[in-house]
Amino acid sequence: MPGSTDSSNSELAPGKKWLIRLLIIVGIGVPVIIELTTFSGLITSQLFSDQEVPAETSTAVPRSDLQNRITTGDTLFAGGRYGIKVQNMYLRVRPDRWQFLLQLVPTRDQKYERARLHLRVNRLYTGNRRINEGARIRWKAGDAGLRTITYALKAGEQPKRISFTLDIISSDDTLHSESVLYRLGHVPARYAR
Amino acid sequence: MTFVDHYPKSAKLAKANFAVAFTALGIGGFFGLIQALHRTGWVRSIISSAEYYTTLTGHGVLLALVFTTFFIAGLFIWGVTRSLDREPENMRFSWSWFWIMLIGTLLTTTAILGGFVEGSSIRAAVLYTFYPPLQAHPLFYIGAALLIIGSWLAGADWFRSYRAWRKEHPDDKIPLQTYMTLFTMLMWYVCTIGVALEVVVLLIPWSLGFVNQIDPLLPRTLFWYFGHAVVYFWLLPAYFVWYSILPKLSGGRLFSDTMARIVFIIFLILSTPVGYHHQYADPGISVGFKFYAMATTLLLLLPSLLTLFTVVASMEHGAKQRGGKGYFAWLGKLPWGNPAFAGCALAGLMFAAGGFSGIINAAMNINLLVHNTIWVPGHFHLTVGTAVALTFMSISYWLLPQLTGKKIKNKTLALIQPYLWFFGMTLMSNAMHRGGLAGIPRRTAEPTYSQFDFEAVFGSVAEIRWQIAIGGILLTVSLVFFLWVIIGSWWAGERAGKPVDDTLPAALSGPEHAPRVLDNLKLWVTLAIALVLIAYTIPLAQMVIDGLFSPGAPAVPV
Repeated sequence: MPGSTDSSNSELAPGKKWLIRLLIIVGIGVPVIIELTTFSGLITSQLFSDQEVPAETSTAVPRSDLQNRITTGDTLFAGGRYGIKVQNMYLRVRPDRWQFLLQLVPTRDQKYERARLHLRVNRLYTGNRRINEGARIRWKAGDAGLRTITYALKAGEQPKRISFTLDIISSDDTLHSESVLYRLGHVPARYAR
Repeated sequence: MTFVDHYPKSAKLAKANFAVAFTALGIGGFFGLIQALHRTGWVRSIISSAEYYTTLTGHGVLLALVFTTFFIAGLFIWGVTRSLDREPENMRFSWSWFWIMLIGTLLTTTAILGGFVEGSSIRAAVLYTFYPPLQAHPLFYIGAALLIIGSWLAGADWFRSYRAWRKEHPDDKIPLQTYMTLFTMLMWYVCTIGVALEVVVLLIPWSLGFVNQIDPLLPRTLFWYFGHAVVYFWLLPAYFVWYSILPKLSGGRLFSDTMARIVFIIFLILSTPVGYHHQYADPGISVGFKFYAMATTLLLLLPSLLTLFTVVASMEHGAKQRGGKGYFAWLGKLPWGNPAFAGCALAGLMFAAGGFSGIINAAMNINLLVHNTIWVPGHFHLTVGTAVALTFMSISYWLLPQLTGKKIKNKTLALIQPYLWFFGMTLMSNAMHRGGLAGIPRRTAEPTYSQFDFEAVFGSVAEIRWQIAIGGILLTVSLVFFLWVIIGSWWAGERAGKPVDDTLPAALSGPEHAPRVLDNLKLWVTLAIALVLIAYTIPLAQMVIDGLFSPGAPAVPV
């Protein structure tokens, strides 16, 4: 019986239409603008942020270099501040187990003579598996000694690709990192008893 | 005749529940402001960073458990009484469950507030989730148990009214408001088994010192068995309002009574087996069961989308009764000057946004991007913090005159309040979501780490913090407006000259079109229990066996 009841209990008094309009414009309009701005910001960030040149930071910047096929005598990180020369690379083959050996030396530049180098192998890929155990080697400032990395493989397994991260720590403790993924060229086999 | 004159006993009980609910809302909301200012670094002088966690516990428990439970009880008393046209069968029983819930609330609140008293051994800085290894004073757990037991008895009270009504109406369909109440309570019974076991069997003996060691995974799992379904315990009463009252406020009629019943059935069936989606990062639970939880969670989009369709269709019908035309122009004919309508409509709008962020949370893979970040509180401030809380506040402007026989005072403030809440929540929740994408953690008094800066996807973290603080202040102002209007109207409101209009028009497609199977409570409860058993039997059995027969052993994935 709406006619005999008070149905306008919470209705606003007449003459306040301007308030309702203001509330709708500010109370709903501004939130809609905020959400649209957020959406636009997220889309812009996701789709177009690659165009910005990243400042040099202390975090690793992965750089895919799959075109490079490395083998003995080649230099890793050849385009960077430091090169690491592959002095030797081969498979040591025994009847019961195979080993992949990689011998490396830094190619020092006088400009960075006082920097320390930390090299880690992130992953080694063989034909059908990925080995995540990361080997780490270090060179102190001025050190250009030979370091050897060894990976145990299953019999018959061939290393195909390898990814490295090189940390260059300057004398003032500034860190520069670079990560590269290489294809491995021919890896000779050496038979051992 | 106004509700209070027709059903004075129910009105008194409903008012008592609302009084507790609004008190908890005021205290919990004030704690929220302190948190927002402390976290963002605006004001760190009100509380210490150690007390932040006590404040956070108070905010979560008083709002998410106390405000909601008491408001829901008041709403359901009103709904069951008017839709069955009968007051509770035994008022002594009805008041007993109210007092049990209130005593439980007082015990729990005392334990939380004890954290502000220096040197007090009564403390409960365990957050709203309260699972180990954080430990509270036994009063906290005993109080929580009493609150839940009281709510069970409240549900029993409404089932008792229903049984008495059924004897007199053996062939009638269950009236919609009672139907929604019964299904909500059935879901509540199914899901609270988990938290009752956790609190009574594990946490109370542990807090009393009877047990020294506790396996963290088991109580966590029992909590989350309950912890997501409780969201639907808050949400379904908001749906109760959107389905049964909002169409009338729009000037029209509910589009489909059957659709409302189907939605409540789906929620009963699917609400509880979804709990593992809060445990995606937990070891000891098979990924297969987590996937099952993801699938059931995403299935819950279906009833939400059905609700979106039905409620918007009902609003469109109302607007067109008021002269609205066109595909969208009818929106302008809706009663945006009525705070009860505006608040419910804005709450529904924000619930849609909360649903989108909920999809991210529910997806196993994407969840890891935002897991345990401030994104999560950003999400649930849209759902429980707005869809539920704003609906409850707004509909109070419509319910209070029926329960008191008095008119609403300060109508201008009442109208500004829901818009201000919507605006403030947009600022705060938007910034929380963006902060989550930047990796800023949740539940942290000072979210900073040495030698590390969070990086916003766009904008800046400083701007995000400003936005959260300003949003929190606007929400507090809105809350003060609400309490001012409600308290003023309740205590000093002018008596309505005529009976307050509480009629609810019949649905366009009414219960006569609903298949009788929809009223088969036993069938739907059995199905709900079966899905819960599939989800939880094996993982819980493994956790129990692991704890009982090889204590200290690592959790073994299924």
